[in-house]
Amino acid sequence: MIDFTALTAALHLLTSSWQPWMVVIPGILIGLLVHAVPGLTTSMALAICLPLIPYMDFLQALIFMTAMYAGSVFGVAIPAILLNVPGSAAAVGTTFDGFPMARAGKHNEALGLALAASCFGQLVVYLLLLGLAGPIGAFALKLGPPEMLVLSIWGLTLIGTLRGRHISRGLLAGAFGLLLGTVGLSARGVPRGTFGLDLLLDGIPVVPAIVGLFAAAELFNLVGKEYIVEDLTQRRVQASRILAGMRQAFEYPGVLFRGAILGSGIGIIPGGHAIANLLSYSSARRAAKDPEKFGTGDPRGIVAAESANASSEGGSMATLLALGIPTGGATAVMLVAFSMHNITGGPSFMRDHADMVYAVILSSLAQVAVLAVVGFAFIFVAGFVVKVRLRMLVPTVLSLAVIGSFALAHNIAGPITLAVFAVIGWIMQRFDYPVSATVVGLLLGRRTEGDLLRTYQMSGGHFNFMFTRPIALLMLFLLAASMLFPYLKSGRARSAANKKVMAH
Amino acid sequence: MRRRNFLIGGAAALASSLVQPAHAQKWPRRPLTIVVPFDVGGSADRLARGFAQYMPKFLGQPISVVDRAGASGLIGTNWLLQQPADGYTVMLTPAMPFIPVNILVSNAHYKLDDFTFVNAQWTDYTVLIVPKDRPWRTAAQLIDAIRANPGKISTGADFGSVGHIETLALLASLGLKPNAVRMVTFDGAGAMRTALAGGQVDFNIGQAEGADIIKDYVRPLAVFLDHRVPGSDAPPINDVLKPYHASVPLLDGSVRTFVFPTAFKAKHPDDYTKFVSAYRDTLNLPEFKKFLHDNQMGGDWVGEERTTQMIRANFETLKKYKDLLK
Amino acid sequence: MINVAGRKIAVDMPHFIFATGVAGWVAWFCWDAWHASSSIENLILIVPVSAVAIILYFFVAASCFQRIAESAELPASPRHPLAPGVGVKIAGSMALLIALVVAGPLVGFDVACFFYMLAMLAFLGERRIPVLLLVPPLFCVVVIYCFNTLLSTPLPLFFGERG
Repeated sequence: MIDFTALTAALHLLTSSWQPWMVVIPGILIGLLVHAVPGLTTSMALAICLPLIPYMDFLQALIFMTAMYAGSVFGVAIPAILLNVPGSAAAVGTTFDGFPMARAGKHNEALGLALAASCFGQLVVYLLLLGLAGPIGAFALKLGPPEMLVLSIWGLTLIGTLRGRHISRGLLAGAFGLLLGTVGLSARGVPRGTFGLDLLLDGIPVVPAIVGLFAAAELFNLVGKEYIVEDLTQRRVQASRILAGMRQAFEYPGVLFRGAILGSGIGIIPGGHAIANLLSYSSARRAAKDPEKFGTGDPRGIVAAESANASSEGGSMATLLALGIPTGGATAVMLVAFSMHNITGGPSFMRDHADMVYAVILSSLAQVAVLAVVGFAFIFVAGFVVKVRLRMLVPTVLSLAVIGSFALAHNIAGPITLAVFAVIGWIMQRFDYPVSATVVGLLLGRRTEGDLLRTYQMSGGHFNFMFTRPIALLMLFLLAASMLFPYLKSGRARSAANKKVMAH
Repeated sequence: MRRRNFLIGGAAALASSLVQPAHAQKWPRRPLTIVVPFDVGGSADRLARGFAQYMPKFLGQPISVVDRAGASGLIGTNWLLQQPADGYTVMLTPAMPFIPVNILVSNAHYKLDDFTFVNAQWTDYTVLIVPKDRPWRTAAQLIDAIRANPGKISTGADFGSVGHIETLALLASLGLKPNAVRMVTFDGAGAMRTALAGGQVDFNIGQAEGADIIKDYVRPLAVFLDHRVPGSDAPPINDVLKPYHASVPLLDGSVRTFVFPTAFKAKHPDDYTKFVSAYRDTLNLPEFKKFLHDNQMGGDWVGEERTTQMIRANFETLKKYKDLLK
Repeated sequence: MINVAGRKIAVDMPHFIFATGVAGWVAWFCWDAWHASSSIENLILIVPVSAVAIILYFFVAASCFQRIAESAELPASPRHPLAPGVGVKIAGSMALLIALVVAGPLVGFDVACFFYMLAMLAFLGERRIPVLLLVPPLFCVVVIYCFNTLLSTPLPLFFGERG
């Protein structure tokens, strides 16, 4: 399945001169910076970089874009861990265990874990792509609204596990989030819940709402404290501990691999990359013998979320290359940049310019190694955030978040959403409602409704439509099986224990 | 940088206004802003940035591009109307279909008369396409299949778009009820194209530029024009419909044009003329022509009158079919 | 927390109010959507989920009420009491954030952020004069003006020509 002539041509192209490779480090740094600082957005990176691209030669542009991409994939995890502010929706899963670890003084390990998992995830997916880019693309096309609906349902089951101590509150929080996600103009042009405001026609801006719910609510809680990490002895940045964290990721090979494979698959589905981290998190939690540890600072949580996040971005890249269709913000950026140099993607492109496709994949593979090093240096510096007094950090982060939400929503709806949800988030936490359940609902609301609607429309109202969608049925079966599995396991353990008792 | 310009410009304006009466100065006295009511990186945005690069030499002032996306152009259009109508703010947008759609579907507070449409520079047309793996090779075959199997064949529609309206118009003209096909509505043209490429729906009527992106996966069966398109086998739709004693109105697809609030032309007709001539000069500039060509953007000169006629005619047709959208 | 209605019933009033608020929004939203269009296609997700939410609300609301025996003491609040002074700090931070967001479009985000930083620093206990004098303007100048060059949609600013 690997076209060796094209592969060697690509290798030849990439190694033809070393000068274009000088853009690797700036590229990765820009990618990291833009996504690690709350308030900066991908479109800002675009604003910096797009004007430069036409002036670079093809190889440079290619390396630069893939470097930026690699950096941005990992960058979002950094504020998620240190500040409970996910750099994007894709880092939400990382906050669940990342921030508790940071608060416990294990920020070095947490960052190391995330970096290692991210690099591994990217490695796996790009290796897969080397052999399977074409078939992956063809497979991706077969996934339509019914399959995406099952994916969303899978994501929603996470709400059940995030419930905290009170089931009804958790489910209510999730339902609330789900409904909030549907505010705005529907796919049929009907405005719901907009109070007649134009600003709400596009719905509630999701990332500002999430940042408000997570970050601001947490940060409000911290106003009584001096530092993120209370213990002075823990409040240090130590390279050795970062390295330890990186090594630790490999102590959970099952979680690592499952996350990477899962993420690769989900990333192929348009829009899947945003929720891959959540799905991986919920799978890891379900498969674990001690699921209650997740959410308290369990390294497996970070590993699961980050490896899937990283590999899902690679999956998006696969769809971009194989189909020529971008599936989200970052790949849209890449497409614009690529098209300036006549890389358009698509099956005819894959046929006629396989060497360029391989060049993109190989370049991305090389970036993984560089990311490990540059990322390490970056998180070393970023780690010093824990040394900043909270009374300076909190207003700084919140102001940046306010500006960033303006940038994301393109208007004042962003900052207003942030403030409103900051208050709601704090109140919810106070009354023991799991904010993360609302976040999951919010993230999935729009797509779940859209895919449910479209599945209904495609079926013409007939239930037996689902029988014409074998992939969706298979996914449903797998989902049901994975949900029942823990009960079967404990059931068998119980009956085995019973047998033991009876035998005596 | 701009702040310094602002201060220097302000000081200069002040100084020169002491020397000459203000109205004797030529417009533009300060930089212009092109507002694009869509996201950075989109087609309108990239076209605007092209103008920002090449048009200043004819205007004598720099141009900056500002994006104000939201609600299918509604947010940016509202913003344009809130700015003073002095010619320093101009909008570049696919006025058709978005301004009529804003008015008819999103209850925008403006009317067509509030705008001056300068020139339909880059127009797209509508085309009927099917995924390659579907059996129909002509539009007539598809139409017969729909009539023979009411409620079975599915179509993807970007809600409220020209393609959607044309789909409804086509069904109506054939005497078919809207539910003769399964209408699957998408949130945006990109998602719909992906679904179409994957064969998730049976046919689609949509923008030709969009169809071009997925040309490897689809087959055009008819074009919504009164002539054939060079290099394509697809016949004009009304030719196909003749044997069925039906016809559909031919709506223009994406029509990109500069848009001013009407008050600008009314209050400052000379300044408006100046803008138009600088605009035309830019269109004739060889470097700009190359820019347009490289980016596959149109550079037609149609003129304000014809452009306004186009948009009004399209608006009236859309109004007729608006209720079918419910 | 105390409410007598024939028998002694402890009511967790704050929680009850919050839960009712959420349920109230859900009910309104469902009604608004139905009012905009009562087709299946519009309501396919909203109605079932709203129904589930309302049912859940009844469970939650029920948990706010606890019958206690005549002689028993009132149960303590299920929430940890806030440390003294923290409640004020939290409320103040929220108020300042809301003020920032409201003031931003009115006076420009540069001015609003400046005052926000200053107010937050002082409110949270910063007393070192150099910090109070230097950090807010530094933040405003560096961050806001840098951001504004990068943003394609300009921030409303006091010292700026766009927005």
